[in-house]
Amino acid sequence: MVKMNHMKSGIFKIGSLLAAFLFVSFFGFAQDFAPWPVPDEASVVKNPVEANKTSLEAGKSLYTLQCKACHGETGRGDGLIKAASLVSENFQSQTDGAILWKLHQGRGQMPSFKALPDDQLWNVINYVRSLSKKPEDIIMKNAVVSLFFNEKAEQKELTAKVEQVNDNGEKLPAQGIKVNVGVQKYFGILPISSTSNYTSENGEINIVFPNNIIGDENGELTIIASVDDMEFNPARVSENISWGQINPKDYWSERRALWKNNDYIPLWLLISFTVGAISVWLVIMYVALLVRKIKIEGDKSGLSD
Amino acid sequence: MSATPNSTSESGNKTYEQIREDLIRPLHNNSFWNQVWIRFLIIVIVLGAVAYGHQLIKGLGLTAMRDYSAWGMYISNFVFWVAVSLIGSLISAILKLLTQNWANPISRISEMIALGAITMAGASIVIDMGRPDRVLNIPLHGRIQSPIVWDFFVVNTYLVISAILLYLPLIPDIAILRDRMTKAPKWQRKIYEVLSIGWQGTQEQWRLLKKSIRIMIILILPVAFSIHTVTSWLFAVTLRTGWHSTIFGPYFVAGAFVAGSAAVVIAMYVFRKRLKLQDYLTDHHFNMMNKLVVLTLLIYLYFNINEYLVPGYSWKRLDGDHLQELLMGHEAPLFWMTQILGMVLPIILLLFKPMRKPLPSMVIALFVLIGAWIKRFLIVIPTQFHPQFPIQNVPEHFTHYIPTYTEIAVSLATLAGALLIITMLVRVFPVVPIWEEAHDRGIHKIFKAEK
Ligand code: HEC
Repeated sequence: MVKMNHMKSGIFKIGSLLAAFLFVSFFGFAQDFAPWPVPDEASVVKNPVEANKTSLEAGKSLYTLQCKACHGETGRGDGLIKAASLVSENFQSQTDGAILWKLHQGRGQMPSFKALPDDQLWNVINYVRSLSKKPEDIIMKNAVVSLFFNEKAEQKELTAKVEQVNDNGEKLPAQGIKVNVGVQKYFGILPISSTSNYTSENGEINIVFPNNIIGDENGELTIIASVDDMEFNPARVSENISWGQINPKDYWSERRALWKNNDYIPLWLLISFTVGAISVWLVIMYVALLVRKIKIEGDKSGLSD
Repeated sequence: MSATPNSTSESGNKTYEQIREDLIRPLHNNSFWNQVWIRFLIIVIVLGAVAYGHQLIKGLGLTAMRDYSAWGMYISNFVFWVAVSLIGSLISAILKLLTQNWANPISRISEMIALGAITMAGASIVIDMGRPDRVLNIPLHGRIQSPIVWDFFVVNTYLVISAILLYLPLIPDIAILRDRMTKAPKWQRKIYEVLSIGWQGTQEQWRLLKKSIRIMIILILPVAFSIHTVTSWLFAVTLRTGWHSTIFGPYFVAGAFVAGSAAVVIAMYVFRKRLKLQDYLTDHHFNMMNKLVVLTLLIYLYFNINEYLVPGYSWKRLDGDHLQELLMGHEAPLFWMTQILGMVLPIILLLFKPMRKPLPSMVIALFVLIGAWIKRFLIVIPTQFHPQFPIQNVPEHFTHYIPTYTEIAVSLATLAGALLIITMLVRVFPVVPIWEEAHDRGIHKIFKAEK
């Protein structure tokens, strides 16, 4: 007995050590990043770039390319890894100069962006600021986007038209608006417009539609156009059209094959797996029953003894 | 069961009481070294647990697994443990069905090893998961076509069957312990009390017990073959060279019997020495057991030749890359070392009777067992560096695999875990079945448990 107690307390000690270890490392991990002091001469540097539309748009595309993966779409630091929040009050309280200095320096997993020209960094700083605080002079407007298809002998053309909708319901072509056009695919939208597609004075962009996009078994595709502009609320349209290449019905992709999902599970497999699994366990249960019988038998003869 | 008294009673005839006391005596022995051994194992396990806790928090980035080598040491351990666990079915089921009665005294050793090994096989898989809390997603959301789902089912089933197969033949022995070990600590007496389920040794109880054992030793065969075949399919159904092989199932099963037999020889040696069972685990048993090792090794050699010669002959591009590395390149020293020291040389040595004596055969078995582990490592890892599609833009250190300290610490802990399970089982239960031993020595009285 004494030995047992001894051992018990040993196990208890080890257990509590382990628990303490887990506790410390867990909360150590959950903690925020340590303060990141910035030298005064860096903090006083003024941001020479005005936060106008051009700067914000340039900043957004740079952010999407270089920062979003870690800092997340909305800058809360919730991307693929845990990164600093770019919308917290604490963050906003520092000067643009201090942020630039941090972008130059980098720390830990935050890379240094010294290699990028400063004017681009100022753009991204302007954009990051706008994540928590929209510039006041921007009033959000509404727009509709529509798609037109034009099939000529040799070439298929697609037109996306953006119209601004005024408060009284009046629609006017909107010029200089960025429109993204793409084709819906399994895992996302395949862009077919170039990245800088701004509408002309009649509110349109024209795209020569590529011939090599694969559609469904009828060649049908879903085309999606969306307005991508800081001053406009999101607007989007999707249309189906048979402009894709015909994707012949594949015998194997329709078949119940071993490598497909559970909806296509081959019946012979479903049956043999289930029957096999159940019968093994039935036998195990039968043996458990026999063991129970042994016990009952023992109790009986124990009594008669 | 036909008794073969001559084969087992080398050291003269013993009475039932002598046999019983000989086999129970080790349970009273709580020697200093035993304590040290158990504490040592616990320390190794705790260190591994700390490393694992660290891995749990920081993620699998602490291991050396990267884009190329997405399976590493943990998966090799898993395959190794599954392999070792198969020995329970070989000795307790196959040899029993073939009425190879010389193996009766070692059947329990093999079942204990099987239970320790299969537990650690299951643990190794969970250890390999970045999010072990999601393990239930396998049965809940898995594709029934996926070998991983089959593996999940079959590992758990085999665990249960191994435990039952260890337990059933133990019942009469536990009843003896219940009646004899009156001075044992209370918890131990409680275990005997509960687990002996009121065994009185009546004729009806014997009938039911023998029937249950017989059912289990038949049931364990398909499950044992499934578990290792399915484990091999985890590899074989992929398109990777070195894995995508039609003989992978039997190749793995054959290799499993090699690893398990070697483990049994080592365990026999240790128990014989430490528990003073020279009269029960005799030279004869070592002789026979090592013949079994040679047999399994020869079968495994045959599969090895098939596995390397056929792709080596056609030398398809990726197969060629893989074999080049293995046979002549970077992995060659390790590969040839395992093939020669862990397979060819043991076969040759064990053909000579003096080598099948306890000490030399134990040393050989150590080589075979370590070779078996390295072999799993060589099956799992090198081929991943020859993917069908090139992996691009990765740092240089992604292109080879060297286990990290975390992986090594956790792996050692699984080894210690298996050893601890076996050690604790041996502390509480006799390693040689008492009733079977008496029966095989021609003592035919049905033991009514004495009061
Ligand atoms: C690889 C991931 C990663 C990328 C890419 C990344 N960051 Fe960071 N960033 C971090 C992490 C992690 C921190 C916190 C560093 C610390 O405090 O130790 C951080 C910190 C910062 C900070 C300081 C926050 C504060 O509290 O003062 C700023 C500003 C910042 N990032 C902006 C950016 C911008 C702008 C970009 C893109 C040009 C970017 N980051 C790209 C991971 C990243």
